[in-house]
Amino acid sequence: MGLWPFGKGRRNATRFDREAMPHIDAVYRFARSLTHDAAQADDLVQETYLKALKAFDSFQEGTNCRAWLFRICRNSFINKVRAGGREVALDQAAEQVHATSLSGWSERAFYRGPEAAALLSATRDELEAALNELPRDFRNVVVLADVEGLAYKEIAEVMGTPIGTVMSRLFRGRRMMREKLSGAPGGARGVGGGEVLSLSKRLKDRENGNGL
Amino acid sequence: MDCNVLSRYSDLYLDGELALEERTEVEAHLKQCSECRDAVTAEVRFRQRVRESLLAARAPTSLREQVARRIREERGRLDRPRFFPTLSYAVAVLMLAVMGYAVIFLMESPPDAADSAVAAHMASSDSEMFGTSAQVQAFLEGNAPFRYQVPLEDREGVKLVGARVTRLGPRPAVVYLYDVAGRRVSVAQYQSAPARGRPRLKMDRRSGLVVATYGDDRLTQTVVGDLPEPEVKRFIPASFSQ
Ligand SMILES: [Zn+2]
Repeated sequence: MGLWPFGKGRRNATRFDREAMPHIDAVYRFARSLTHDAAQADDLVQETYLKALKAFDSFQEGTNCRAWLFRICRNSFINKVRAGGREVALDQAAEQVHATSLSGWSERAFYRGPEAAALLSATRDELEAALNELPRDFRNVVVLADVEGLAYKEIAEVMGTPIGTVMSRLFRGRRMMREKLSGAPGGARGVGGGEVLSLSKRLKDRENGNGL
Repeated sequence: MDCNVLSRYSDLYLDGELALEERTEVEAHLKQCSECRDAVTAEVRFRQRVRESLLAARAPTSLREQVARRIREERGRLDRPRFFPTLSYAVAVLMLAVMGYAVIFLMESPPDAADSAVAAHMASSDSEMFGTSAQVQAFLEGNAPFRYQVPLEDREGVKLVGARVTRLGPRPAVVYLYDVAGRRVSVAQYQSAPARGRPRLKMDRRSGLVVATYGDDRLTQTVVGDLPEPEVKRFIPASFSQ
């Protein structure tokens, strides 16, 4: 932030405008998903961008700026929740309940049935409603993966959870959403994140810190 | 790989989270099993619908504007505390010297090589003062190389915060530093070249900065600021702006 606008300050300002600002829609969607409330989402987006501006030196060029903004957004949200004295544990309890109620589901069996038509013809409002009914942490992970297109590893960093947790929430969240839309529970077998994790060599390597 | 195993892998497959060998196995099965292929195709279509529908939610215009405004304010605030370090000021003066030099070059006769050499040495002989308007003027009383005239008195939103006695190219100059609502505007003042009797004003734009030069037969000022043109014009006496 030099005195003269040719130094690092000005360069950073241009870089910030170029790299961070285009993600405002995505940050807004994620803030909506976190807060479930339009006014709170507005505040959260503003806070996210102000924090990002101050911390922009710590953003590594070439990495995913959107994921970096999501992380700031989520941390800000958590801090707000803590400051407000509310408990995040509610969602964890909800997760347990859903985990047990979602013991069975098979994608293949599911799409073969008549429910597939209902799924594929869902309107935007129906899709939004189904997503909004998910417990918050499930919804967040589904939004990050299926709307914003983040990789598991990026989601894990944004949410501050292990990849296994991301996967179990993502798969269960997706299934819950599909059940809501089709009005029918799925087939015979379900797959937990841990189980899938044990199937994937690539993800196992990642969890062990061996990279890609 | 059979159908049961495939259904376990299909999420990972579609998420792009499988290793090459696993992906190859999945694709081999999909090639020969139409049921799994249909299921995966349906899933792909459903995901596309989810993505397209939910991506339509966009930040409201009011929010965009609010974020933009708060970022502008925050930048102003971030800049201000760093206003006084001499290093930054030196950079400013150097920039101004370069630009002022260019302006002189454009408006008047080109300086010769000896003058350029003098300019190159200017930094060592500079002296400067930061403080209140009164302190800055007291400093100039004792140090200005010519009969200076503060270009703009303090007023609402415009504050003289420093001055430096230096050279612009061949010319002794006083550089005044203003704080304008958290932004810096520098005004370099030097004695006009002979035969430049008429008041004149020249607006220019260099490296995204507005550069305004105005003067009469006695003094010439070059204003450089990271400000929109109308704001820079506040520095120019009415007699020059038209
Ligand atoms: Zn099959």
